[in-house]
Amino acid sequence: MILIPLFCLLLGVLVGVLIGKPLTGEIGVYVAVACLAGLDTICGGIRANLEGKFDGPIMVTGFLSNILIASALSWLGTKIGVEVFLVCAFIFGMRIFTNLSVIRRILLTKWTDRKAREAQERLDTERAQEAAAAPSETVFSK
Amino acid sequence: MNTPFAPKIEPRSPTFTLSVTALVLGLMIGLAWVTNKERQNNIVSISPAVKYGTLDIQRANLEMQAEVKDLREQLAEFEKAASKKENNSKLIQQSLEKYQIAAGITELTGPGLLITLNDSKRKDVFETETIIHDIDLLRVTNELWASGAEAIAINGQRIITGTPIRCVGPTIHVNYVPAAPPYRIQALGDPNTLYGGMATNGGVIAEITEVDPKMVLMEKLDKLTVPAFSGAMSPKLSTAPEVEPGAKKQ
Repeated sequence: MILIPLFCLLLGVLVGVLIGKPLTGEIGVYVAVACLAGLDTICGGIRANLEGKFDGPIMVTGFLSNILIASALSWLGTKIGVEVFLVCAFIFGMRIFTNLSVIRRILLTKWTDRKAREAQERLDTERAQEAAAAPSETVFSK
Repeated sequence: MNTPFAPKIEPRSPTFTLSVTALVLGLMIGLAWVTNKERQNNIVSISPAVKYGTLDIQRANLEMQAEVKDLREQLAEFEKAASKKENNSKLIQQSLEKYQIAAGITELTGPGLLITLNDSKRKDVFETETIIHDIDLLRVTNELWASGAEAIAINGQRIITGTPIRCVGPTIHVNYVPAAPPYRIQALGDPNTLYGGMATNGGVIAEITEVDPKMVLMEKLDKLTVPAFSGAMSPKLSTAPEVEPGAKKQ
């Protein structure tokens, strides 16, 4: 059910917006970078799930540590005058794109596989029916 | 079941974990959700008090200038009254007037020279050359003093001993008051002498007219009125040493 996490995401956004004052300025930048990190982790989680390699603890720790590291590095960047948040945005953006493309490939492959399987099954049943109609011949179905 | 997105939500299932993290992420996105307007406000980060404070300060400045003028007039009346009472203080009154004129806190009238400096509309030279700069006003003022000017005002701002003339962004500030072109420089003194001093070859006026003769207009006038200095003059830290009568100055 892909809709449940999506629904949770929307619910979270709604609650966050309704909670009141939006975070702006430096803290806003940190949270924005953390958002990118979290988005990347969730995309990675979905991808791992589709690949059958999903591990709950790894996902949760990855989510938290990515968020913390991204914000901490951005904070450090503002202190030492290097715009690290741009690096974070770049890296996480790239990873989100990679993860999404992998997810797309997997889903596409699954879909085409299912189509092929269904076509094969239809062919098989037709052959079985033909075999039933002509009992004199022995048919070895697959 | 290891199938993607199992229909039942069990604790520790991928769907559960993903949902929880998605909820947290959504919350963060919601908190970081800033409209462009709010971001702009934040970047400028000037509080309304500061933003509009300048206007308040300007208003307060005007009020205080009016107050200074009132108080000076009052003082003048007191001085007159005092001089009437005692004959002795007439001398004091006279010397006071002399110092007031020297300090520039009284209006002065007399013959003089009116120089009007304006930016040029020429397009075929560097833009910086077509603009009257603070240094031009400073040099003109300097040259006028050297040519025997007794009082000078630029755009209604009297030049006194402590008058700064400086570039502040797009305008020139004289006595901390912004002035814009055309700059009307009034100088009291002998009009011919002043004119001669200003028209010297290689002088500042010559330099400006070299770019565009339309930038300078000099008029000899029989009667000019130079306004009084309207700012505050109150030394906070310096005091004059007391000199006993008859004592030698060191």
